[in-house]
Amino acid sequence: MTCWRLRPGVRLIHDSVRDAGVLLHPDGVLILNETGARVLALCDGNTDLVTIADALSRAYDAVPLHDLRDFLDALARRRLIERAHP
Amino acid sequence: MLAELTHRCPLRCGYCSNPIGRHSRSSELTTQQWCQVFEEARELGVLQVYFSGGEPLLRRDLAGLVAHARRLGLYTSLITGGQGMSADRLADLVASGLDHVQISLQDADAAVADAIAGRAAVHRRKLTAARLVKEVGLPLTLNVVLHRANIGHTRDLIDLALRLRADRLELANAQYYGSALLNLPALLPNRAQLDAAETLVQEARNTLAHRLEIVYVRSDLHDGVPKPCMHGWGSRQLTVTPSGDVLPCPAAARIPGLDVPNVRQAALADIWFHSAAFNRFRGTAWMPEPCRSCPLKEDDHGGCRCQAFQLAGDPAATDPACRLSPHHALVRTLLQDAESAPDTLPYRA
Ligand code: SF4
Ligand code: SF4
Repeated sequence: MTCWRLRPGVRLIHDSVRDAGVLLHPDGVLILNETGARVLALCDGNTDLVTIADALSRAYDAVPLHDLRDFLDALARRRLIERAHP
Repeated sequence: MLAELTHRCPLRCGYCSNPIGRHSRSSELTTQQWCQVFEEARELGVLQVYFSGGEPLLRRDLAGLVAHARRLGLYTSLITGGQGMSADRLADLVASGLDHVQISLQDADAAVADAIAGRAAVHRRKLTAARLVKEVGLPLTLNVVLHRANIGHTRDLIDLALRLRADRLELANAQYYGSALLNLPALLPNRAQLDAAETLVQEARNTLAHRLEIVYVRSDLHDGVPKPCMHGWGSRQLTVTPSGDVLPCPAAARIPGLDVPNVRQAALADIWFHSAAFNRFRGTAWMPEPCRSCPLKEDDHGGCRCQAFQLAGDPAATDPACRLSPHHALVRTLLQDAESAPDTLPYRA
């Protein structure tokens, strides 16, 4: 079971000026779309990939697991999130 | 945004690009004025504040300013030389919500580092500050300005960053403005030194990717390719100086005729959208040839305005670092001088 969490020093906020989720980190900002913001809100260290995909599928059309995995891997490579072992 | 809280600084680095002795404590913005600036910045869409200087720790109200910025939702980074950082001071900052600390190092070797900083025991205090930051669990960036006297120690700097458990290491080739320009022949590395450093960085990046992020800022003088001016002038960044001047670029104060706006006279949004300073080099319409018809103009924005002014005498000229610039011969001459210059330590003029 893979769970993800934000790395230390990374924060997720809702920016009221842009009306968008934003990931803030030591080197800059990442402005998120609605799906991205929802996924990252679930990167709490306790929610596994399948549960995140289920939650998304309830809100939107079905989200393929591999798309989700690619998105999270890309964020991990940018050192914004890390694997957690609950 | 970059919030330069004070230009007071206990160090005297030869490559420092801050104006020397331009601001005294009495001309600095008050706590309340800074809080107002942060509020206006957040309304404008600013998401990050870098508390910088000079040495921001010299402001006794630093923790209060961090807390205010944090309450507004801003990401708060402290850019410090590490002098005057104590466990108590750091605990206050953490309680205020500080997100990230960047400490500048002069070198990996204490004796060389102290000689560059112009004061004894500076390096030891920086290491202590770095350890304190990791002890409280904040992300730590180490920043080193590279020049002739320390670029040969790139391997040692990477090792030091690992020992200090830093999260990021920024190795940035010096930019030559202000007093750094006066010291240029003593500061500029030669081609062989640069190549060796770049090879080391590339190797370290491959082997250390999971432990340490290494950011390398290349020298724009050596390869005929100008460095991009931010994301464009007046596009994403702004700097507020200790006295409240608002600049599109931290080094822009020396550009002649800029007509610098100030937060005491105008609202930040007004300055951002309407001031002459922020519009002067915005977009591409101001560009002369060869930039005007160059396919790269949206990528590098014509290079550095400060460098164009300092080297070519015209802030609107194509950056002389660009091999297409009619002034590029100036840069070639500087490089030739650097190849034959003796290895001396840079002290502040
Ligand atoms: S000519 Fe101007 S736009 Fe083109 S590469 Fe040189 S500096 Fe950049
Ligand atoms: S003008 Fe030069 S120093 Fe200023 S932001 Fe642009 S590139 Fe940097």
